[in-house]
Amino acid sequence: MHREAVERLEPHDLVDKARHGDRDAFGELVRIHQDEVYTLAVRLTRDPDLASDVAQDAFVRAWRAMPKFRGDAKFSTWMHRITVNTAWTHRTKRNKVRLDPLDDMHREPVSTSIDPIRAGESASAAPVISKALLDLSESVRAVVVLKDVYDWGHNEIAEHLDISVTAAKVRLHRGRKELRVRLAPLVDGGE
Amino acid sequence: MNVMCSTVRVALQTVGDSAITAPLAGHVESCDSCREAVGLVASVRADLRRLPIDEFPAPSGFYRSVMSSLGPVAVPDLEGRHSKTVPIAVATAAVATAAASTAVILHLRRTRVA
Repeated sequence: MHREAVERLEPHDLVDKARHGDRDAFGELVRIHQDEVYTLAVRLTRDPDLASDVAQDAFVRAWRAMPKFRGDAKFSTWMHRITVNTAWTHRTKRNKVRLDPLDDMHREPVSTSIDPIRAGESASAAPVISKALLDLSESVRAVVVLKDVYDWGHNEIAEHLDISVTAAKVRLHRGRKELRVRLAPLVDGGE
Repeated sequence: MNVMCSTVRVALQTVGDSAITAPLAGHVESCDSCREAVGLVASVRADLRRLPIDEFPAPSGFYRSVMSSLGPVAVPDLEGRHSKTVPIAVATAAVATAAASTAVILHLRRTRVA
């Protein structure tokens, strides 16, 4: 199918064609969702190169699993789940290579190399909030991202991150507390 | 800070501002300190919720890289059976082998008859 033709299709038609093996239709889904998937990967990994690998791997996994996608969730929601699982797989592989115990509470953030170019409604607040989020430690940041940015439930977070619901809630509290400290000057108007 | 204030703090820590329902909500309305604490949690959550989901653009060449990595076409099985990925090269090889075997058998039979 030519690109012009797939560009005119509705999202659910693209998904249906992709489920039947239409590579062009899946390609259009990649075009539509690539920034979203990459953004989630960045927020989870804080590393633009690793995020690119994670996002690419997530789309490849999605392509292979397309025949099994029943459509009971939105395609974007399904891609989010695959991206989270993929990011955590990469994290597990990376941790096995480490010689020192993982101590990401003290890891220096690499967020200075990531430049958020799109702002939300508040042009001055969004980049600050985004940076504060990226500066959280990895395990805490994942929970805050999934709960407070993507509105996942505690059970879903626990399942995908392979932690208990209690651990998810504890990390969420820790992350929100840390964000409150970092963002307090913003809330106070910089005073 | 009284017992209600402590209860509000614990609720904020364990659940968040969504836990501030009656009678805690009544206390929060009348307590400056608790109102500030709840407001701060709510504003952080609201700010996070407003972050754009496509904040970081995918790097240049990403689409091409994905499409070149897709691999064999997945054969869909929409009736509930297991779906299989059928590498085209394997399928072609199987057909070629079967054709070659048939040709050999036919040749041997003709040779025997002759």
